Amino acid sequence: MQCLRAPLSDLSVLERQRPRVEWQQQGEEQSDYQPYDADYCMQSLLPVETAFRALHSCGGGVENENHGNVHGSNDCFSNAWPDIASGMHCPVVGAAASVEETSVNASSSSSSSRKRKSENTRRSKENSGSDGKDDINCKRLKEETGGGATPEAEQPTSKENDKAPKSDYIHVRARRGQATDSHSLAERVRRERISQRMKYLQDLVPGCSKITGKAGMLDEIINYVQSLQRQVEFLSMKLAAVNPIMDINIDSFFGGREINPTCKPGSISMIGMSSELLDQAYLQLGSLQHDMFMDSPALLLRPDVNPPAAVSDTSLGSCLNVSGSSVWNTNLQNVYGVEFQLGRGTALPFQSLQGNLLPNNPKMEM
Amino acid sequence: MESKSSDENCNNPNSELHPSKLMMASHFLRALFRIQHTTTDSSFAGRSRKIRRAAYASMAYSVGTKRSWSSALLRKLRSRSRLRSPNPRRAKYAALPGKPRVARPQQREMDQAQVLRELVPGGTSMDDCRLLEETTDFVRCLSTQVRLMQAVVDSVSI
Repeated sequence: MQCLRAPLSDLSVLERQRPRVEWQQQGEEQSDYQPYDADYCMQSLLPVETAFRALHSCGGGVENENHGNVHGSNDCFSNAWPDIASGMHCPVVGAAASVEETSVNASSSSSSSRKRKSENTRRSKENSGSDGKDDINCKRLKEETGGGATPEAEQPTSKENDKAPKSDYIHVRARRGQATDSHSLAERVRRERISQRMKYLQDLVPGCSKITGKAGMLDEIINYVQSLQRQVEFLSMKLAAVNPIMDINIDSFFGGREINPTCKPGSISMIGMSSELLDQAYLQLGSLQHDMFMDSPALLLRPDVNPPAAVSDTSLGSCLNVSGSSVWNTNLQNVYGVEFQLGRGTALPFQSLQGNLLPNNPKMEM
Repeated sequence: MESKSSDENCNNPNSELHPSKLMMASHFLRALFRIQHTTTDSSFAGRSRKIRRAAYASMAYSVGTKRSWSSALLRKLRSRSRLRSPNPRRAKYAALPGKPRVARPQQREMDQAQVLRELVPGGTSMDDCRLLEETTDFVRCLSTQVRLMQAVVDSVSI
């Protein structure tokens, strides 16, 4: 029995040797590691978030710099992926980086290259224990790394610890009672990554918290994506059906704070649409992060909720701060003009707009 | 794991507009005005198609090339615009996402991952793990775009 299992045990011994040395060498670094967890990922990125916010509140023009930091989304999750690419110190991220980079190149031939794509947090301790059992009951799953809690008692092969060659392989600790050949380990890694992504998606797609199981989740995700695309189409039809909106002088509206490099600032200058309508759109955009859709009167009151500095940072603020009451008077006239030209000659929109605007005049002039 | 939106809310109680959202909004609104202003004589269907393309374009531009779905989308849009005048028939191969098409019978038996690959731009050449990543980002961006368009519609059609 022993000789039959010898090749396997050699392999597993070799696997055990390397992490043992690594663990000894990198004992201190591992003490910082935490379970492969989204929470940790978020915690480690909080400094980035606070730095970003500090930068953002400093003053205008910072948006240009911050755009590079944010990579198209503004929460920790999406920050995680570019940090992966840039190889942050976060071990989880670093592990994912190696995973991302090497998963493409990982050749399936050698087991050592398979090992390269495991997570960092599962650095296996030297826990060889019994002689070459396939179940590897000797190996323990260690979620926390470092620490001295290794059951040293089960290491009859301690003599092998010294002669392990140095390597930069990342090893996966096989769980108790599970197979340890390289194929299944890689499979397990892949499954765990996929389940991690599915968890993120579960948070994103509404109404998915009840559904467990990959197939149901995928169905929900597919339905959600399809419904979103249908909504885009429906809304684009609605927008096309609206009578041609009166135009706006985009330059003055954006106040030169245009971030998009592809826009040509002076190319589109049109007659003025009611800028209030656009203000409402922007104010409603401001509520997107809170995922609330308040009534428009309530929305128009939002600028006095924001601190003045923040308001001045946005393009909306630049529009509001243009100049005092004269702007508002002209805008009111524009509104009336727009309403006439839009052909919606009913009094109701006038009153609703008027009712929305007038209470805000004193507030906005502050 | 706490939801990301609540995390944002805790950190940004009076949040300003996010720069990429701002960029998306500005791009989309400019395109919208351009469409409304210049193509007053085109048909309703043509206008709605252009608006839909502008929506996807603003999504892709705001994200840039950091994501593979956005690069694929940008590529599709550029190839469409290039092929538009000389050979309009070839443009249909670069179908934008969400374009209504006849439901093929073999679509039912397709794997779910395959269906998702067809939905997400650039998804056909990705493994499952990467596909889920791209789907997450795509879904977030798409929902932002939908809310932006809804806001514009609401503000215009008071």
